[in-house]
Amino acid sequence: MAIDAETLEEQPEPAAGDAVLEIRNLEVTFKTEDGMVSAVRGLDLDVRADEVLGIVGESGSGKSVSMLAVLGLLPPTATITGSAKFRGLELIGRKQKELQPIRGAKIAMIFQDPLTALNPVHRVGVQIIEAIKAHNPDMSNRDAYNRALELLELVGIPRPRVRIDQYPHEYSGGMRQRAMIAMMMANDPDVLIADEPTTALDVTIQAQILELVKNVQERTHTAVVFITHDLGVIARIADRVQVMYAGRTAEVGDVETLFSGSKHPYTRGLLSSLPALAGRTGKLQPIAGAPPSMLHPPPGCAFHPRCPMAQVLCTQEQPPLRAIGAPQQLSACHFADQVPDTRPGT
Amino acid sequence: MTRRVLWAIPVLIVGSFLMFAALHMTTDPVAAARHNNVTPDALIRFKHDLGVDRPLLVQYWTAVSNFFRGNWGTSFTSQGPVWPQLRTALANTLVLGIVAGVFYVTIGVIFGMISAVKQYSWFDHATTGLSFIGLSLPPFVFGLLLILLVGAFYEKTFHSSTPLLPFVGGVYSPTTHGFNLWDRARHLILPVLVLSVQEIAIYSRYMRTGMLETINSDYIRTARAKGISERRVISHHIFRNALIPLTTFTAIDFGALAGGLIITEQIFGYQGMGLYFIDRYSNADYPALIPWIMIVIIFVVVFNVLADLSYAWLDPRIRLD
Amino acid sequence: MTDLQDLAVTTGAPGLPGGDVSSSESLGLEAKPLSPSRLAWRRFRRHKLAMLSSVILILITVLCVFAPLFTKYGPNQLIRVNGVKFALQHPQHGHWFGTNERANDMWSNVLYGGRVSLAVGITVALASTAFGTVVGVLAGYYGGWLDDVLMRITDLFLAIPFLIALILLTDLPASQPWAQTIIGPSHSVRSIIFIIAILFWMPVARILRGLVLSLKEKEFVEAARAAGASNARIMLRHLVPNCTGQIIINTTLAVAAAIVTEAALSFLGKGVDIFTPTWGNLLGNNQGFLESNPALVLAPGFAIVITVVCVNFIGDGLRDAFDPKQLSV
Repeated sequence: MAIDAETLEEQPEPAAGDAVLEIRNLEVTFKTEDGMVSAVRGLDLDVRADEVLGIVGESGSGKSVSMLAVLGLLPPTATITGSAKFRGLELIGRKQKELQPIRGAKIAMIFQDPLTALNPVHRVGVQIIEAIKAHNPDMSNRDAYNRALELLELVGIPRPRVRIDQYPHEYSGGMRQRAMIAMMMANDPDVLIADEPTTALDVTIQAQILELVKNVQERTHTAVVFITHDLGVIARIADRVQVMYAGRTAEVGDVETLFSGSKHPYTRGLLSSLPALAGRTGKLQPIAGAPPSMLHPPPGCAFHPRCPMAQVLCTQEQPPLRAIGAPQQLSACHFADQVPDTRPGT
Repeated sequence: MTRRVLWAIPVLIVGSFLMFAALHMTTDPVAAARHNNVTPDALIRFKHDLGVDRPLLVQYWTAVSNFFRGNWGTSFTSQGPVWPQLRTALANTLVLGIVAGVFYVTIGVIFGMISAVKQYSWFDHATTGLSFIGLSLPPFVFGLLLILLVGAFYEKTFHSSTPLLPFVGGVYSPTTHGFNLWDRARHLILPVLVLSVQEIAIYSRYMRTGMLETINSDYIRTARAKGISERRVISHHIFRNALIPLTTFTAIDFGALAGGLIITEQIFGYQGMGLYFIDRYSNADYPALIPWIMIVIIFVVVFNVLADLSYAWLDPRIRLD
Repeated sequence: MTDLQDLAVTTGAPGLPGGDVSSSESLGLEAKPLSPSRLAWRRFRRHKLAMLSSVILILITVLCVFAPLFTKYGPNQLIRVNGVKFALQHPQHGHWFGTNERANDMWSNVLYGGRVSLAVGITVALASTAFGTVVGVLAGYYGGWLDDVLMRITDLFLAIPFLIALILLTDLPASQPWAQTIIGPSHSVRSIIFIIAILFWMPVARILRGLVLSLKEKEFVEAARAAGASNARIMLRHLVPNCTGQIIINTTLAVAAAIVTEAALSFLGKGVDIFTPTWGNLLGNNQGFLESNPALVLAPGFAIVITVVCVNFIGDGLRDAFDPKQLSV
């Protein structure tokens, strides 16, 4: 089925709780000088309407790559297989041109570094209007301009009439990220992917941007996929969490479930290396070892070289993702039922 | 930015003075008189008349003020006014330089763009390979090869008594009188090709690198993520941003034009600024050479300023103040 | 800060690199460390054209340096056959490139000419890069008025028309005794090397200044300073070694440019005196016989082009090998 405005309109409006974006068995491989690098190795992921899904993982765990793959934004050195359906519509294997009506209009994405993510030679207003007019070619310039003003106001940029005509370098870091959000919310997308949007910002600004994303989500009911490596951020914003390790899902569950009753040693490791949580037991325990080389990922469970619970089986067989513990909770660990119970007090 | 623009003035003064001084140190305008066994008294009088017995700085000052007052004097070589001959040489060089420039910048930019947009395609590989050969073809080698090709080789192969294209006589055939566009254009083809081969290679590589740097930047990913068409991504974002360094580069390149085509002019006997200098230089023709130096340096300096201004104009992050 | 943030900082890799994904190092996924020079050599070896060019260039160098082993004639040796001057001969057995109007063997002239051309190229490249490095590192490291002065001088040198300046300078020693003491007699090999080098250092100075400007803000320089290292030590032991890649690339490309410049000067009759064979001289001296004896022009012409192509490919291989973007693991 070709993607055009009409088929998009025919898609049913998602009800809360329905999956708007379904990713199945997604694999992304990069051809490099040293060989094939598997960045994503069979990922399953659901984004439900009107929820904030947090994706956590270390650098190179494939969290950003998988989202960029869905939107077709990876360089040509990437090979993508598997399936990603937006409201039933397959996105993988589409031509760039076919993805254009989806990008920015149905699924939008904001990026880590707002300094480099905005084109330095165009005015902020022009860049927002460009996003509006890409999906509303018949809209008059005046209307698009007014819509851009409205958006700048929505994301809390003071004096939008002045700011709209300024260049990105005249904005502060936090303001740039606000402008970025305005640009990506221009067409009321069903899914907003936020790729570490606070990582490059000062701590105080981080909090403001988190607040803004939450605020915008509540007002527009857009589903948000929030990619981060910071569990603290997840705790503040996410409804559900998906933990990724070495290009695969380690554990999925509601945010409360995962923080209190995780069934995966990797999630456990992450939690005990988090000062705010570890503080209660008095010990801060970083995970031993380094993330694996994706050029030669370890056989079996990729986490086994660093796992305190690893058995012979873990070095041989890749653990499947299976339901365990709380409702909606899934864990990819052979010994998920043996993961010790929650620490007292949490 | 203002500082950079103001800096043009001392460069102009010191640069022209250095060339003026070098000219004085390497040439002797009274050499001819010396050879003719003129009496010492006459020699001193001759030097005084020319003004070459005064301190160098005074001579430089006189020369510069005369230049700016339009008082350019009489050439030793032709015994006529300097300006008409210099004007012809300048016009010839500018015609050649601009025709060649438009040709090689256009081709280079187009090749570089396609190479970058279709990175690792056969076109990209071919362009890259050819550009290395082009870069390594000095004009004097390529020029001689071309002459061999359109001359001896063509005549032998097609049993012709005339070469395919003219390569002697400079600007016009000796039989042409007055303006003749066809003849003029035919005389331009080989010099333009000789000037272009290296420049096309340089511009296409420069453009390719610039485009690739831009293509891989975050804001291009943002532009795509907005859902705008690929055409618009290329024209409004990639090309627009890659154009900034290219414009600066082109401006500086054109600034060097007035004094820079010597080799090509020498190969084809093309009466431009380069041959003008070499001819007058061997005769120590100061009145003819001083305006040449001034014009050439002014060109360089003015185009450097234009390069800076265009940079500020194209990139909002740079401000003029 | 969580452990994860620590990891993200130390590996320096965001989830996806903004730029080149074609190297696994830039993905932050490569685990085993390799020393920078080993890494560079590995990348260079992968550049097939650069490897081929290296072989050809070594071959050319050997032919030129050991010229007497490959030709029985001296460059200016008059060749007579049956007592008659053997001038302007076409290529034939024993005289692969023919003979010139002075009845000298062209093959031996190209070999002996290569000695001078290569020597000029290499010496100019080394001298100008060394000088440009000093200027660039000083300007970048100290900044302030020294930077201003050095960079303005660089601008000035760039504003003077290159070939005209060369022509004026080549004539300088003939009329100015002081110039002769410094750079040697007019049109001697020594003076030509000197003169080209004087006008060759500016691009290197600019590149090195830019590099040092960014490097001096890095932690390792701060650390060295905090440990009490002197300015000279910081520059020599910390900054210059970190610019090695750029210095090597520039030296290589300067060799090619210097060979071409020497040839251009000779072509204009302003190079090394015409009795010393250089590729440029051979080309310039024989251009009158282009149509009658093309080999006399083509032989030195192709010698220049082949050498320059090889040097440029090697430069490209080195750029790949040392590309700082790929090194920032």
